[in-house]
Amino acid sequence: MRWPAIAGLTGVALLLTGCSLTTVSGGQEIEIVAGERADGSMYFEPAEVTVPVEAEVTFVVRNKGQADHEFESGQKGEAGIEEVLVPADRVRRINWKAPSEPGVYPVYCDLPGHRAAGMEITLRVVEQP
Amino acid sequence: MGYSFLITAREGLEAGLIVAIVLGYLARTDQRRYWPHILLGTALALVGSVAVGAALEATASELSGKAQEAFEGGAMLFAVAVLTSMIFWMKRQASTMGAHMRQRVDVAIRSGSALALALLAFTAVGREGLETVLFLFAGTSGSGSSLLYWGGAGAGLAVAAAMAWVVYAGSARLPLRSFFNFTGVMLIVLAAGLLVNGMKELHEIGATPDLGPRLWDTYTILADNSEIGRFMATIFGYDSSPLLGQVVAYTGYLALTLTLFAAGRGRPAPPAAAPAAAAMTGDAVPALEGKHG
Repeated sequence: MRWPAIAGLTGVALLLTGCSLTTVSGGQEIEIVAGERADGSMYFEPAEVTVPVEAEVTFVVRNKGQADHEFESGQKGEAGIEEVLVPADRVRRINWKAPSEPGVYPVYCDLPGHRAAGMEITLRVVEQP
Repeated sequence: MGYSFLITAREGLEAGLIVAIVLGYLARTDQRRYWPHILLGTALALVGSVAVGAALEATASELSGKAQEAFEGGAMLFAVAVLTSMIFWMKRQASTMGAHMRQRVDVAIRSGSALALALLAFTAVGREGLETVLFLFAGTSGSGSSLLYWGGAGAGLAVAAAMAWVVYAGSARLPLRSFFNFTGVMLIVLAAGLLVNGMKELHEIGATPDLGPRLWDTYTILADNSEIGRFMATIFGYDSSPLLGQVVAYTGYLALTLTLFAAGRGRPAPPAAAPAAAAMTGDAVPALEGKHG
């Protein structure tokens, strides 16, 4: 009776601590900061990110603002970055693989009014240097 | 995968039982000549359901941003309402469904209209088909791998078809009441997840009142956008940093519906109302009364 219980608990512990199934990691990390300015505008920094084709990337999005924000580029013809909500004062990680062809894509916050307030950056996918 | 499997297994079995019972009844009463009408109505219902599902998916993919989230969030909340009412309706009707279905077959045959028989199968199976595509659509936005999601749906249908065949063939007595009770509880859990997922979608576009503060953050333990996090989000509505309103809605819905379900609030429908209900919605679990065919 004890061994199955110990094995089960170990499995759950492994699953919940280090397993890649429960966390988001793996690619080259790119730090993005999100937030709002005193003048009412909103931002992602840096405003432009460049990655090589087929690069495996982990965006680490840090929301330093007072409001929730999203990070995405998932509409038809965009970069294929899934929508992830980043609550105020939190960090979220998003894995993404760059397309095989060079291109320029918008990455933005799709919450009402946020993109218009400035929350959009340019993601450039370029040939391998 | 678990979500889509459960939905198609449950709904597929309801539809499969309708067909199995009607075909079995016709065979037993030497009226196999009407089988093609039933099969035609069933086939048309399946094609129609797939078409509705494709239209839902196409509509959602055409929309973008706020409109898409509103459409998906609305579909989720609508699915919760339909799912909940279906579970309780089913619990009330289960014991008398077989008789009602056979009554409807008799009425259709007496009317002398082949169309009436085909229509009977079409409406009964079509209802289950529409429920299935609505629930599957409501679950797609939270699913990670579409291959696993639709693989799970296919596996659920296969299990449902096998169980319906067993009922038709009369080769084994299936514990259908236990099956429907178990899947009923599971569906209530799924519906609670859909409820908070729908609230999340609508909250993101500002279509809900203030849902309060975020109560905790478990992202570093289980990320929403990790493999297991996505699965948990689809099944249980997992959110690593839920809003107060989401937590209240989730626990309140689960507590209320599970209590009512366990208390068997589904009293048998009054005799006068039952045929009308059957005619409107199509009956589903006649085999609960026993084997047929």
